Amino acid sequence: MLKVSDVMSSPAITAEILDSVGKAAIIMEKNKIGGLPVLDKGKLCGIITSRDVRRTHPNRIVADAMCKNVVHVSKNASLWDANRILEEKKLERLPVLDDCKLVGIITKTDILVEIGRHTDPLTGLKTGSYIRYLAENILKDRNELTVIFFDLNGFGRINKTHGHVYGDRCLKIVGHIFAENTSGGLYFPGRYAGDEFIVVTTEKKDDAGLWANEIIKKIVNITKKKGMPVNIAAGIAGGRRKDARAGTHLSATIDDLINLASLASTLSKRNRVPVSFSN
Amino acid sequence: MLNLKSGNSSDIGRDTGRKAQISIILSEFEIPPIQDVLLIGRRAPIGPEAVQRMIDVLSPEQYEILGVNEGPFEAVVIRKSLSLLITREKLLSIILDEGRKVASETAVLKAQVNVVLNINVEVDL
Repeated sequence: MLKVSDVMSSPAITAEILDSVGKAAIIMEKNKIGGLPVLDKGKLCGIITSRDVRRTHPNRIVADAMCKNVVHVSKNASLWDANRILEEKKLERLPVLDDCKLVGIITKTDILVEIGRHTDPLTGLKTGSYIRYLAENILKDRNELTVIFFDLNGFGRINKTHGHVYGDRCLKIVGHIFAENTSGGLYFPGRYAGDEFIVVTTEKKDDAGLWANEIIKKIVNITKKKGMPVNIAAGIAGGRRKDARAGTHLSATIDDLINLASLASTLSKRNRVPVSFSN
Repeated sequence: MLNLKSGNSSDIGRDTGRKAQISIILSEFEIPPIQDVLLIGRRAPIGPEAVQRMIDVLSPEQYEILGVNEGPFEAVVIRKSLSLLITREKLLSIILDEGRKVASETAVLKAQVNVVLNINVEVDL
């Protein structure tokens, strides 16, 4: 999972609380940045932005121009958590702390560029890493977590027979079907890799099984109607426990569930059934 | 005050040197320098935090700073001892009413406030 520390600018360029606003403006201009975390004896005590500078007399000290209720983020927070904070608070940048010590700064642009990399350009679905982040949050909130792993049958053969452009069109249609059938907020789809899709949900495994069967039927019917028939198999894991296993990192639990669901999808292919459950 | 007089070529023969005239005015530094009340404009060159630090050093515990955000003013500094003679709210209301008539957002105004109590007591003889 991508963390704030992977993307932040470090070390952060800062101002001191007794610096003049004029000096803060010069620092911002010189470094072409729009805001500075403010330090008082090494501790973060505020943030001053170019907007604060514009509306304040340059002779004032930074303490008289900065925003004192500074919103910050831990360096270990996920990129998506940082983005949520920025959106909720309508902010442009967040100072990054490690155990109360300022270690960097992260901006909305930094985050959006990185998150953009986590949207699959072909299908428009989220990438596997984003789905992992969602899955971790589901477990953190002590909700049920079920992982459904989808794998197109004989996709290599489709590519070889009809060409990769044709194959990409098939993937686009399948991605679109996933997106259209997961708008209720219960199922979260992503493109895992190649011809593999992943869906996480808070539904129990039996309900997830019914949903997977339905969507497989839709994929088969719609692609057939569009003249690009594809078949798909699914494997389901989880949906039986609410917490991470004792002594296990959340990330390891997610790895485990994805792996089990993937193996179950292989079983579906082997047994020529649409959906299989992991034991 | 420092005045510099410099000679030129036409002065040759009369006064060839450069002379400085020095005038010194000595007066007592007023402590505290802000008298009784200070009105701080929103865009004044000095803000409440800087004033707070100044009075903490120059006249600790003698003043209080009130954030007002009213009219052109961001904060008012009031000598604490005044509140023994008149309530803070009443004084603040009068000061702000008068201040906003003459001040702009960039102003820092200091005010001297004299409160005279007239007391008449009737006693039985």
